[in-house]
Amino acid sequence: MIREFDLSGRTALVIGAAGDLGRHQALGLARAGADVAIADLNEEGLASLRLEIEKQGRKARHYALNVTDADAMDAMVSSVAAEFGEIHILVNSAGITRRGASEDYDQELFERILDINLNGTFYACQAVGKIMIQRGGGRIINMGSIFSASGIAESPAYAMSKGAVGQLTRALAVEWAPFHVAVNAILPSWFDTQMGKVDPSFYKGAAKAPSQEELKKRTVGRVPMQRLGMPHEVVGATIFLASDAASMVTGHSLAVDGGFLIQ
Amino acid sequence: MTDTIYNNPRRTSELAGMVALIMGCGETGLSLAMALASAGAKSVLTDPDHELVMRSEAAMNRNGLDTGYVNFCMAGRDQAFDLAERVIHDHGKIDILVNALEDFEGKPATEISPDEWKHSVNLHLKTVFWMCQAAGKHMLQRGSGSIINLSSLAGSLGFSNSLAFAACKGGVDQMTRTLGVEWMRRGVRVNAIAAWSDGMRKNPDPLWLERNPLGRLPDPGELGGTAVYLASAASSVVSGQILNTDGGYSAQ
Repeated sequence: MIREFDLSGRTALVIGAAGDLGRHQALGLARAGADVAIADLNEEGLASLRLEIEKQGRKARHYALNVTDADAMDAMVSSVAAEFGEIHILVNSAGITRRGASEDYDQELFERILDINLNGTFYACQAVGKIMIQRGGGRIINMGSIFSASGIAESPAYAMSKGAVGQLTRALAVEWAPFHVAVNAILPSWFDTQMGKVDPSFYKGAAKAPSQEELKKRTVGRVPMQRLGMPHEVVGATIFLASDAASMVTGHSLAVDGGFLIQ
Repeated sequence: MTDTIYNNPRRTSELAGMVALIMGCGETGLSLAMALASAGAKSVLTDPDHELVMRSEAAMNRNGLDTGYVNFCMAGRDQAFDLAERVIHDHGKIDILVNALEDFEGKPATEISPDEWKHSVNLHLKTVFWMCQAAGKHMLQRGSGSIINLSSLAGSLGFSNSLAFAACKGGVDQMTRTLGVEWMRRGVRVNAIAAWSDGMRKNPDPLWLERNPLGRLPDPGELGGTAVYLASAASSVVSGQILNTDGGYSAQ
């Protein structure tokens, strides 16, 4: 292991760890040497992940968590700090999305997406940030998206939540830089995950539902690399931003997007 | 040649005959309302603070500007559609929507309570989106309209002690781009104006002035020209843009 990327002796907290990207991030951080606390609403997914992390010889604990509950977030973060002593790295990977025409976008769905993607990220940053400030530093990694920066039709709630996460990242980076807390974001394009799949029910009853081919053209077809990202391809960026290799990097949006944002 | 306001001999003022709905009568909201009315539009005002609406309407009248108001009662999507419906009923249509409702509170990120956070998200993100939906749907049906969201440099740059406001403005920027892309072909344009905000201007960090090529912060009145431009046919192919109207600050 290159020394700058070595996370031995560090504790990472990965929220949304049962998701496809979160799972790979948690395993990647463990492979780089970190002990890992994992949290998610899906407790079942956590239990198997915990075993995999422990198999790598790292300490792991898992926490059932609803990220939209600020009190539950505080309680979980306190438990992690008590169990591991410190939290050096926070990865915010919990998120959901759903396509829908903007002018008819459903209120309940809209609020749910903002609640999980935006409010949940804020609660986590605040709860863990306080601990990091106290202990003299830390590294926070928020999951943004190409939708944090680019206008893409039919995903208003997701784009707003991810745009807000991008800004949350920059504002905290500036505010917490004097406390040695670095805050960065990773902006993935369409990935081969459960979330990356377009729910076929979305276009049910629509005047003209796009074919699978059209959908592909609208998404992956716009990525210069012409393919979906694979979940493990977000790991390198995560370890980099979590490690000493990124010691001068804060407020940055690191696109892992096959060239999408640069076109 | 495409017909534009510049080669149309019948051109009068840019916004003659148009109806603008102005959400928020803060200093900037009122300035934008006045600018649009000066260019010929009728500016319909609304704000949760009814007294403020009355004072703003009186100020508009004193300046001989065409105005009206609608009672504010926003709680969610349904109320936004009700509000838009009342404006359409009273004034016939909505050509221009200006989202300028803001409540900036500067405090360290570690001290924001969940309730304060939610208040900011409700006002700066949800309300703006419901109004974009309500007015936007009407505009899509008519095949024309311009939506102008008031954003802030805090929506794209990192400023300390502004987290709840800044995160929401980042969301507003992305809403602006998303809707701009989605609705362009159907005749509805969505853009944003970014300076600071009424709240940030009240208690400015001296660095904002020092570092600004302009040497000071722009006045709300200086954003009016950008609003008239974005509301009018002069910007007919401009959509999804965040116009930093900031004295050059963001160019450095």
